[in-house]
Amino acid sequence: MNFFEELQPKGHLQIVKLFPSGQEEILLDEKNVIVSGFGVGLSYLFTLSGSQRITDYQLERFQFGVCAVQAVSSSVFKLDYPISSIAHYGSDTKLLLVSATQVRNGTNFPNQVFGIIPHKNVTRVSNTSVRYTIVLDERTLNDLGNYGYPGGTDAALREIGLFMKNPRGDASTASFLCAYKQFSSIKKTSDFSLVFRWIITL
Amino acid sequence: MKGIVILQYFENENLLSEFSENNLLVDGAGETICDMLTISPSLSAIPSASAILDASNYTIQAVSFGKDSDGYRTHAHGLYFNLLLPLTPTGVRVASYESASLSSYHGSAMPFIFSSAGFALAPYKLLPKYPDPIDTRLETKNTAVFPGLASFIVGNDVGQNLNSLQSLDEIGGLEPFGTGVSPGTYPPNIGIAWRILSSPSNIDSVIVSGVYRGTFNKVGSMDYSGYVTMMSSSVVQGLQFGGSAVTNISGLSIFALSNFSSTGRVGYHVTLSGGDAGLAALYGGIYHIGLWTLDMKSLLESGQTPPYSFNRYINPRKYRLFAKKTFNQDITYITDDTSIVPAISGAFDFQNKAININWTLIF
Repeated sequence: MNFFEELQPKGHLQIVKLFPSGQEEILLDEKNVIVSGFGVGLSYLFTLSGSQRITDYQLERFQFGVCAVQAVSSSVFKLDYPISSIAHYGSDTKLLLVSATQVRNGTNFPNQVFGIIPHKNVTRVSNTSVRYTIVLDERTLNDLGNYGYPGGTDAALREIGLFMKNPRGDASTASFLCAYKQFSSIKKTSDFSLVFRWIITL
Repeated sequence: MKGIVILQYFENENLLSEFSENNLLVDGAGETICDMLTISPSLSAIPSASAILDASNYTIQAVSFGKDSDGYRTHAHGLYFNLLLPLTPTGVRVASYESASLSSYHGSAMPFIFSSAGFALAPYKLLPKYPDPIDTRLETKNTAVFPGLASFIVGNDVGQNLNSLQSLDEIGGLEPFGTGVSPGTYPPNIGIAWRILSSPSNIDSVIVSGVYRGTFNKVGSMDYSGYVTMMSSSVVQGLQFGGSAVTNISGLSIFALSNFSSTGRVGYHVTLSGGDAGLAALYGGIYHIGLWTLDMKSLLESGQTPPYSFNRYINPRKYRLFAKKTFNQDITYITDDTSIVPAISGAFDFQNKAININWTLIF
């Protein structure tokens, strides 16, 4: 319930390190930033001038990045340094990954790597809240230091973004960043999985 | 996200005055967006269900108007004036409790709620329900003209002004207007006579009278329950209608500037024609307005699958409140009392006048 005239979407991200034994360790439990891309997507929906398919307005995509120096505000429209290759996620990853266009401040940037959140990982937790669960298992995004990312041999995960799929209804899917979060370095290894539980509340 | 409501008062298409204020987005807005975010994409594989994924099912589809709860049991809703007075001449009758020198009707001057026999049942309290984020309708208190007699007036407690007058246009006789039991608020296209009386018991004590013709019922944009439907299928068509400047489209339409994707501003426009505003004033005025989306959950739970074609007589659509604005003064207020400064001054005729409602949502 919101007691202000404005309806302010909010986000909350929990990052959990999950070991094969089942032991969990919470690494982060904080608010995130809903960025202007979410408003852009909704304005296409409510003017009925974008995609005619409602699924194109869903937050079904994500990116991980390895840098976190940009100032965080609602005007952020891209990750600082997103993982740029499907191969870098790992050859045995179970994630569904695609290469598609990202719209950054009105300009198309093709061939960006996105992960797809399976719909079974999208849960309605209240009338006005949705939870997205992203799992990086033991085989995913390990040893990023091998790929020449910032941080050299210590390259680590530093940021994550949620994307609206294709609100403009482009023939070639073009996604908008809608929610963004920077966090302290997490160097992913095969010793554990990472679970990202992201709740968006409207 | 927030919203801004702008009221523009026109006479002969000249702008008389303008009023602007923020509105309240209720929890229904968040629910609709969450519905959109969680609807299963797998439905696209089921031909009979794929229409559920049409984007228009999750956007603004209607606007409606309402007033205070007590207002539904007095003013022109009152049995006394409409049943016990002679049936002829027919039409809407109200009694003014102001100076007979004023040719206007102000609901705030009404002292009592009357029984069917003309007895004052209780003092009239003009208290529109304040807006609350958990509101799911415009007026949360009972809005039945006769509480407890729901079988007599189907669906009369819906929290807003109803429209039962279309029957005079095309069906005829289903819900004859002016019999006092009519909960209707908007005039038929063919017009309805009205008169303001100086005495509640004397049909001949006419202060001022006239005929109102309604545009909502002329174009068929309002259903029985008072929802004015969306008439433009996209912002392109809305701009073809005239965008935010139109004064002759009495349906809901979308407008936006070409840079809407960077400003996030999406506008919704509806015009209250002089006839529609005038008769609403005789029925107690307009204190609430609301924007509505389809209530997909309710529709699907009741077994109805899209498309949900609008039908003003038997409308299959169920709506969910998205945004609401409550005013402290009747937006149809018009007076020739020179001691105050109303939105529109002059006699109570609404001749050549209109009220534009431009409602902008900023995402």
